Amino acid sequence: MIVLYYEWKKDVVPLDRLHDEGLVALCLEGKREAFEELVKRYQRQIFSLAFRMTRNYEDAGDLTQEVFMHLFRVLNKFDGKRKFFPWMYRIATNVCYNALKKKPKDSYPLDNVIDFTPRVPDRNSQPEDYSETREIQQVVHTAIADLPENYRVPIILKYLEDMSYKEIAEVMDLPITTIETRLYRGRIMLEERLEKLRERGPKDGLSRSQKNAF
Amino acid sequence: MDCQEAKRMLFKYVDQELSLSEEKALNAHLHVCSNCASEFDQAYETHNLLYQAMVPVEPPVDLTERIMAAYDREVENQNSAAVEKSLWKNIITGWRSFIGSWQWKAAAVACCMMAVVLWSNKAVAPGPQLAVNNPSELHGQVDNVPQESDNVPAGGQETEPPSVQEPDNSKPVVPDKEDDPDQGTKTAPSKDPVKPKENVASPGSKQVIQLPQSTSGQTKLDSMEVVPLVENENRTAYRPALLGHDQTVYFLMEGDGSKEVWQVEMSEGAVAQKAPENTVLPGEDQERETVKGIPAWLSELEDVKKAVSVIYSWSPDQRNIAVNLGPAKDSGIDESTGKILLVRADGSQIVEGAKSGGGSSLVWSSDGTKVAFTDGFDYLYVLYVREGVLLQVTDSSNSFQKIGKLLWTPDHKKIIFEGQKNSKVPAGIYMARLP
Repeated sequence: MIVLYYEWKKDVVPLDRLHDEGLVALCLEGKREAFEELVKRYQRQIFSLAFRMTRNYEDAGDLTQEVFMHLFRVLNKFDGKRKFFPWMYRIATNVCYNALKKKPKDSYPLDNVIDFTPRVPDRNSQPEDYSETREIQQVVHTAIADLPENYRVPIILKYLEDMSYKEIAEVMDLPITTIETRLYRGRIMLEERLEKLRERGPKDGLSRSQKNAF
Repeated sequence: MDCQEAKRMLFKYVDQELSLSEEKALNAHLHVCSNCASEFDQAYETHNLLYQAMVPVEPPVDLTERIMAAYDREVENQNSAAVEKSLWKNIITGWRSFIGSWQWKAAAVACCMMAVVLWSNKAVAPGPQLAVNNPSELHGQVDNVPQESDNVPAGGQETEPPSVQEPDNSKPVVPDKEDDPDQGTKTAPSKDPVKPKENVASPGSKQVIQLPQSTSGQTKLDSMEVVPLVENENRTAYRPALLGHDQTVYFLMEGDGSKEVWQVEMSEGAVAQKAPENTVLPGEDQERETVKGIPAWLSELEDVKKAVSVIYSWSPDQRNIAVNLGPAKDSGIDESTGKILLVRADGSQIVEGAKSGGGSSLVWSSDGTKVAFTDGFDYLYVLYVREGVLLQVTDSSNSFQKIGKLLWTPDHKKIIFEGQKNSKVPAGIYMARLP
């Protein structure tokens, strides 16, 4: 006679339908699948953040892993009454930020940025603009990369995650006014560096019509 | 509004961070100041460039897999640290009582094992090392875990023995999964935990790896405490169940012509009482609803075919199967013990977990680190899967004629079971506490 036990039977709701905070609770019970679900849910965002911070595809992968391991270790400190995402993103930013500080700047070859910039060229452009879009992106990425970290991080958060000043302030644990100033100064610096691009005119996706739409 | 103020506001405007009144004021200013209007265009263009460039990046396809491999290593790190700690304490506190010959040997072997667990590397005798490492391989974890335990806040790591060193010996046997050339990603230390180790039997060869320290039963440590939760002289208590209440055990109480659901707290001396009327215990059917088939190769295994009894249990992560085998049908009386096999579901590894077995119980703890089982005499054991350490919970001095319905508590630290000490007393509910 064969008797089989399988004790994993408490699930009623599929994991991918559970909200983040529920998954965290399951993670704390040691449920591996719950953690995996969190990883699947946010790895793209964390990876993008890490990639924008490090400018290196391989490092971004390692860093993403580091972020999730750090999260796992401090998961029991998560306050279940609050939202998971900002908390997680703040940890992710800190891990990336600390990693940047440890590693000398030179060790990030900029070539990687060129090789792995998104397959989808742009949110609006036509296929024929692809190579040009890539070129523009390259220049922009290089310009961002050259910014001091203080200014780079809020700009990444602003544009990658479309965060509000308040959200960025929460993630970086700084006053909103500081964020405002940094975003302002950072973009003024970028403006100077990107002047040439802007001079190229409307084809670079800077058409007036778009502006009006905004 | 002056120009200075307007300039400060340009990006806030672009970012939609201005209040309505601020926005109106800025607009009014831009209408009359061509200089600021042109700066606004510039700011907007910069914003647009950034907006276009900052799109999410697709991560490498194997990123989830890599992270989960790291997760497995982390979990193992935490668990093994906890077990090492408790065993260590156990051995030290129990030292004086280990005077009897086999017990002394057991202690010696256990210490040796601890040494392996703590300081194992290639220089240590191969036998025990194999024993310690193989079961952990079964979990797909790699031993060359980065030494991060210092800054690990959770999982009771703070007080682990000071010199815990993970061996780096498993590095060569971790198969390098093919790199993803198109992604150009760095190969993680362990990408594919399921691949077989070089020196591990493939299902074809059906070779079973021995765990030396359990071949003579010397790793049995009598360190678990069994306490009665319900012992009634007249009525039988059986079928314990945990209904999601961490500290309450529900069970059936039968006698004097009645059969009722009762409950008792998980502590020694707790008084059992009738459960609320609407309490329903899970029936046998429910317990088996998630029954899952076993791989064909496993039922074809020589040991499995020959055994007089076979019980399977899938690990919670569904990667491994524990098998409680009775003695072989043709075995003589001298070798009439069963055994526990731990196998990878894909057949890549078969490890003999214990030289005892053959009972009717076999249950994984829900974290997959331990297996509780009974042998042919209904002695209860706990096998620490990753460490290959076997704890005997009940023995001849503390025996039950029958043991069944093993349940792990959600914290994986206690086992609740129904047991009958001898045929003169009714069955009761008992609890075993892990060290």
